[in-house]
Amino acid sequence: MNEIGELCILLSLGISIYSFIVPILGVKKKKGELIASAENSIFTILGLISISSFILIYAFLIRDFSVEYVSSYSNRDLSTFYTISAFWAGQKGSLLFWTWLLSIFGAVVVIQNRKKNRELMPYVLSTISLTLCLFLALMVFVARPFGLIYPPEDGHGLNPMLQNPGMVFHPPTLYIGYVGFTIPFAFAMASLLTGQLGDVWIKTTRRWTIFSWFFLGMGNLLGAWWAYRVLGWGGYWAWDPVENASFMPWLTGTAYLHSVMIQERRGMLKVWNMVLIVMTFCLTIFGTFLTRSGIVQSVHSFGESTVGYYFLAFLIVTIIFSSYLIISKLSLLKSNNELDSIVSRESSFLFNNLILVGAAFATFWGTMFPVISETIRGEKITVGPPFFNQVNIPIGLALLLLAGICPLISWKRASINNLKRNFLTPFLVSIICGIALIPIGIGHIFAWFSFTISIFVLTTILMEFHRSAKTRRETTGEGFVKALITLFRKNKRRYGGYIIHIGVVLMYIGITGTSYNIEKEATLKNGESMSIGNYKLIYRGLNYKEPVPTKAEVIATMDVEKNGKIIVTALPKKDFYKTSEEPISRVYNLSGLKEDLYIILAGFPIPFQKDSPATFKIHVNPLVKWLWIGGIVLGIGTFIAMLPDWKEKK
Amino acid sequence: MIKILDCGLRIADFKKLIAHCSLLILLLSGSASAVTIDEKYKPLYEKVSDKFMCLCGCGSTIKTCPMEKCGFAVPFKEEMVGRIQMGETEEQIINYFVGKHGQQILSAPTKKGFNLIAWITPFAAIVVVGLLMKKIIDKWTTKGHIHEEEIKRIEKEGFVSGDKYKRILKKELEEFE
Repeated sequence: MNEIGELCILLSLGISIYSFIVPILGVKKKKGELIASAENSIFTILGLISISSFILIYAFLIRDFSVEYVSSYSNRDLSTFYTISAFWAGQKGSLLFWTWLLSIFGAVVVIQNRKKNRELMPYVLSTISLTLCLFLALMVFVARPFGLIYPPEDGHGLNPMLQNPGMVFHPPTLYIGYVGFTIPFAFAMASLLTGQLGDVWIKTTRRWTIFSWFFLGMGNLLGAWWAYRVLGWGGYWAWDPVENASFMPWLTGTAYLHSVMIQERRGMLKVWNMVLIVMTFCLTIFGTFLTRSGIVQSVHSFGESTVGYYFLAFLIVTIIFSSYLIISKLSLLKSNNELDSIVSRESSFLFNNLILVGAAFATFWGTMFPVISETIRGEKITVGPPFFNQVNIPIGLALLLLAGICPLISWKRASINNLKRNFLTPFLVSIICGIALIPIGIGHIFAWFSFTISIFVLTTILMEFHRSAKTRRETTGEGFVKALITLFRKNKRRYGGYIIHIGVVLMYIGITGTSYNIEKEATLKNGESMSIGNYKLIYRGLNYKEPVPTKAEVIATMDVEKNGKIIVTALPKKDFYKTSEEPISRVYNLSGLKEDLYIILAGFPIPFQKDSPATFKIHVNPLVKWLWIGGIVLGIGTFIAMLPDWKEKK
Repeated sequence: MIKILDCGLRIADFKKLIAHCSLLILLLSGSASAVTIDEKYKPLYEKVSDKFMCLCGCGSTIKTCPMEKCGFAVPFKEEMVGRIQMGETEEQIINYFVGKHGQQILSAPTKKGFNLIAWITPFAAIVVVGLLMKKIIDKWTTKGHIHEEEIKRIEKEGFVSGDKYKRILKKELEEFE
């Protein structure tokens, strides 16, 4: 069986080399059958990689520990759910999973473009195939998923920290985002190679871009959610190099999503859009390089490996080739129009791009500065969360402000009337609310700005909904709600975008809440209590459970009082796994819209008894829930924006 | 076993169980106890512990390291608490640990010397690119204004004011006819 899996990968490599070369030959020799053959070969690769993937999953399910990868990431006691997720838990499996996703996306692109974009398709196929070649070559020569060993009695098992639903969905979501950006990049390359530099490639890949951007964002958010629930330090984002690596392409992808609107509408920023999509794709490869090279220390990395350096080589080749193509086609990438005024939507989008790319650069700079410092001065330094927070907070606030301005400012030139109509009321509302926030204790200056700007952005969007629905009601006689629904149905992209902005604002509110976190640590005897914020926590002893043979749980019982009433009995616990030396804290989180009460069982004496004392770390984290709610709203907005418009259907 | 433990364990029972249960051995080795510090020193402890990076590879600061029995963070915290309780200032503590572990122990680069580049570059890049962008936008919009002024002038002076254009127009009209 395993040999078949390995053979499928080898065959796929051969076919992907074929589907890289043949479409270009087809164009040169003007032979359509060669291009058709290359298109079909993508389906063959998909079939072969699917077989390989199923064989590896099957090896996991039957506990075939003769496969080194299966032995490293599973054991007999691992549940089926987590056994399947072990497929992408390590370096080799994740390479196979990545290849599988890319072959699926490649096949979808071929199906979507059977009757359109025929001139672009050969180059699209070649770009996708070349990327496939990289991953397949790595699996053939460097990191073999089906490498065999003498089978041990039992496997090493999956890291207990990864045995969490958040961690099951976080990597694939992120991978979908990473891999998805290959498609717009492939179309960009194709349009450069063919000289078809109009809007076709942008319109064709619009949904692919939103799709990839959404999954990359959600992957990051799921990772944050997992960190919050599992790591037990009370936070969700640590600015780890690998977290940064997936954040950077998301930022440049966001910039691209905005700037393509200017190209579609005004025929401007053609070079910039090319640069942005190349940058986004390169950052996905750079992220892969960071994760797999061990060049930076990260809790996420797969450890030191030569795999990363193949990605670095691919990255360098991609940058050189893309730059050459863009420079050689500069004359064809000239804008059809020029800016009419600095006070216009085009300008505001340009500033939005500046800030987004600036944030990506700041993150890149902070991530790589230790390497730069060591290279230049020979001294190791660390760039940790305090740096990223200090640098990115002002940049983030500027971005939030632009999220309110960009969608409503007029194209070409905003008149005083336009500015007054769209921004005067939100400005006044936000200033009044901002002033009202001061007496209730918004002490942190950045937090105050964040809340005030959030109110401004929300007001601009809600006013736009109200104004548009009112206008429609007046012209058609529809009811307000029906008018609003019709507006959404008729222009899903625009209104989906507004919903996404609302989601982003909610996420900002959630993040800003961090400024008001309270944290306390205390060792309590049975019956003793401690107070934090509006809560009183009374410790009621420890319990021991062994739900499965490989796991033991030590559970603390705490009564949580608020306003003199017991509102809940909290059960923070610590899990001990046979396969891991490190116990895992299972946080008890009482989550509300106002705040989270986050209880960690930090320690207890050994041997313990039911009434032994225990140490707790308690956090009161205001507004965190809004971060997750914002993520859901962002998802809804993306879904609306991706639905086909009536106009397009016609 | 669950039943026994639920009722409370005696040391003798525990020893017996350890012989049979590898999980309990893990439990013994895996339990953690918090660093204890006098309440009056806590604010300084909270502040300073966030200024140091845990070097266990977790990517967190000493304050937020999630590993319960981290081989780096736990002894570091104990040493730090000792120094705080001895009455050392924030600066003294930072200097001591930088001397011991080098600059890499700091969670953010210092704002002096070469490290200042780390702080300035992101903002400098945004400002420089922003100014460049402003210049380009100004150039574009000025061009736009020149076009508008030209149109106004032509409208005012009549469509073709120059001899050159008159000749071209006359020639083209003749050819057209």
